[in-house]
Amino acid sequence: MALLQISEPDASPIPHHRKVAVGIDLGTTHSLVAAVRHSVAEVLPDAQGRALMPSAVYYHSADEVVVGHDALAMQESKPLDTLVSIKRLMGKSRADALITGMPYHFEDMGNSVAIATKNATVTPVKVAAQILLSLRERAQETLGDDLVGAVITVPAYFDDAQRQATRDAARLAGLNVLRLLNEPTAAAIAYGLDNSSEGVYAVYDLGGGTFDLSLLRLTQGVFEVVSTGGDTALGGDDFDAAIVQTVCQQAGLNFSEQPQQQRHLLMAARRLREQLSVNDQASVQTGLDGALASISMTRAEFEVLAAPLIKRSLSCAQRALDDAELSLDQVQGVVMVGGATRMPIVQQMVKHFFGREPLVNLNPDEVVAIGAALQANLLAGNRHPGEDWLLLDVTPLSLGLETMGGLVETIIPRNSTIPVARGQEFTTYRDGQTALAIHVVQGERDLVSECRSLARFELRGIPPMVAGSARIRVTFQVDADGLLNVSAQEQASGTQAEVTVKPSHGLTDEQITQMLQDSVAGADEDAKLRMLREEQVQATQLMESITAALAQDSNLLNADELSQIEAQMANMRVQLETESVDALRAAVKSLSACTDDFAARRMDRSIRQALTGRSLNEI
Amino acid sequence: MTQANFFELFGLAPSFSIDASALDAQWKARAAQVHPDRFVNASAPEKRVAMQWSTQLNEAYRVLRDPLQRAKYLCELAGQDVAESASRTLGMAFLSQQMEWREALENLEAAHDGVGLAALLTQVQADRTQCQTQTSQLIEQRDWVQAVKCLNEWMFIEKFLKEVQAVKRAQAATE
Repeated sequence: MALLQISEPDASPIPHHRKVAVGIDLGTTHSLVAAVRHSVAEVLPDAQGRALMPSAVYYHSADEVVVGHDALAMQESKPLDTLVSIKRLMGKSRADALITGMPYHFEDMGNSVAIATKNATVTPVKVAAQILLSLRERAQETLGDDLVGAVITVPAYFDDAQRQATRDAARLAGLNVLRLLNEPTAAAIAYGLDNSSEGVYAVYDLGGGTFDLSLLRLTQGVFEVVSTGGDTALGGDDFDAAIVQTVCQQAGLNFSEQPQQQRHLLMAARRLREQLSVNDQASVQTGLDGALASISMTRAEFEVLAAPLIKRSLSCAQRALDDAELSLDQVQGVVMVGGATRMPIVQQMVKHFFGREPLVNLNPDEVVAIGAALQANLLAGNRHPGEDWLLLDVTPLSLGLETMGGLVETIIPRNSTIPVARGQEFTTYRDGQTALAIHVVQGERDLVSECRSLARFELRGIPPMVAGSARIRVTFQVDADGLLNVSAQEQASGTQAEVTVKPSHGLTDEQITQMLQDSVAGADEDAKLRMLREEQVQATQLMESITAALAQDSNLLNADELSQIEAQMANMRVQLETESVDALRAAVKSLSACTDDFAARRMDRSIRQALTGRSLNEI
Repeated sequence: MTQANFFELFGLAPSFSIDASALDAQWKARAAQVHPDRFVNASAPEKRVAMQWSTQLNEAYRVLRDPLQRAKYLCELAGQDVAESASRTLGMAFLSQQMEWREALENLEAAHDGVGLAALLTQVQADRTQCQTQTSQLIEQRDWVQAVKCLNEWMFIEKFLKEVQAVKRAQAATE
């Protein structure tokens, strides 16, 4: 038996073994990293004390990048090569990108968009990975520890492709993603834990580029999302664009074909808008010559432009209320999140809609990162007794299948609590047919053409049978990150069909793997040595956990299974003596493969015991 | 993993009348034990098993908290094929009333008649309540054949009710 380690009260036990996990808010305009230190969640500032890092990246070459404030400084002189608001392009194709009206030169890269700058052509995933990498380095320098993982926030209304792209970016940045967390839910955690609130709360989250509204029921340590609505193309950027459009119209000028001038105007518009949040009238220099050398506006004039955008957000709010079958008077509080909620007109209209003063006591720029840090700390297992909570989130969009005539059949309706799964049976229409294609879409419309195409799944390996006699059960599983997995089984023969995914937008798994391998190939000797050590630690941990599991539960295995596992363990002991990453990796893989079933059986038994044990105690 | 009985999962007796707040508390208590957030550091197969259990708890909760789904589930537990029976059990009188209602809804929608719409909604809600009460009684009496017949009507009415509500919302939004 291991010796118990006793530490002083309130001191973290053996600081070096603390499992540090961070929360990252990957925003359209700004990104932040936060962590729980000394039992308090706080945003980690950079060396100059700045908490917010502009989500801006400039490429000097494919490998040499500038991120954050330094990149933003390049924006006015090199607007086409300084990448900002890249979040709007996550999980998008080139055709989607062109609709955004962003000034960049877009190219195709498989089904994903790529941005061609003067010095490098990059995907949004890679750009986002640079931002995440920079935040990871900031966290490691500040915390002086290796990170066990990160919780990364995404707009609640992000679809599968956008979530997948975010997770891929994190993988490229070398982050272990503990969970993708919806931004309004993160804010609710920060807010709810701070105020120990109970009841139904609305989170109104208007960021730089996206809008979310989530309704949550808070009860005794459970954050239950009841419904969510939103618009992934509505944010502070749109208010700036509306200002630019108006001032250009008034001056009889059009800069939409001149990215540099347009960029100057958009940046000026943002400053103007920020000033109008404080003053009744504002005027800013644009850096251009001529009629638009400076632009000015009164708050009343701006509010005329802003009102239609805010109305759009409130109709999302109404739908979320309808979905939850809640009326306005059942909402006990409205939490404001996102820098754009600083605009007085937003606060006024939200107040008018909900009939109550919105809550603004937490910094709207930081609250999402703070909530993510609290969740990361919980997931990493650092919670203290009594400091526990459960988060039950939902799918934002309905998931459906294409059927005859381009119609959608809904499989998983929006606002289903995740994880959620639904099965559907298919059959073959030709004799001897061994493959089947399924088109999965996301959205609320009846026609496939009006929904977002998510992926095409090809099922192969169906045993050949007479037409109509195969029964293929396809299971659509949405996991706790809101990501879809599809599996299929022929019922009569029990054959597991092989499922290949062709995402309609974004990068394929192979492309991501290739990008990861490229980054490994470029790693220096130090990094390679670190990889070997990591692999050795992982292998040792795996051996230890299997040894412990066998001591406890070897009765779940038959003699044959047991001897197979023992043989693989013997092989692992040999490989641990070598210094080869590849050989170790292969040994870990084959040992895991032959113990997977054992691990699943143990888990199943322990969950059964936990669930029935509980009900026995309660009766 | 085999499909567990939804009532047993929450330690509840299989019955149409259930204590909604007890169900809610049982769901949350069990979800807290098996939610994937509890197993982020586990191995892939362990995570998969936890996710499956968590999925099943969510599904059980979804079915049991909704009176219509709960009634359907009880009939299915008793061996009734509810989906298959719909075409057999619905009578002509019921179907022609459904057609009248649909026609009425179309007219009210075209005429933007808010008052008429509210009246229709009240009527459909009353019918729904009646159908629910009747189905639940038949289930408690274990009269499965009649219960399934009544349940099929209820499903029709419920679907129509959603359509009326959607029209009402659309009208409210344009005002």
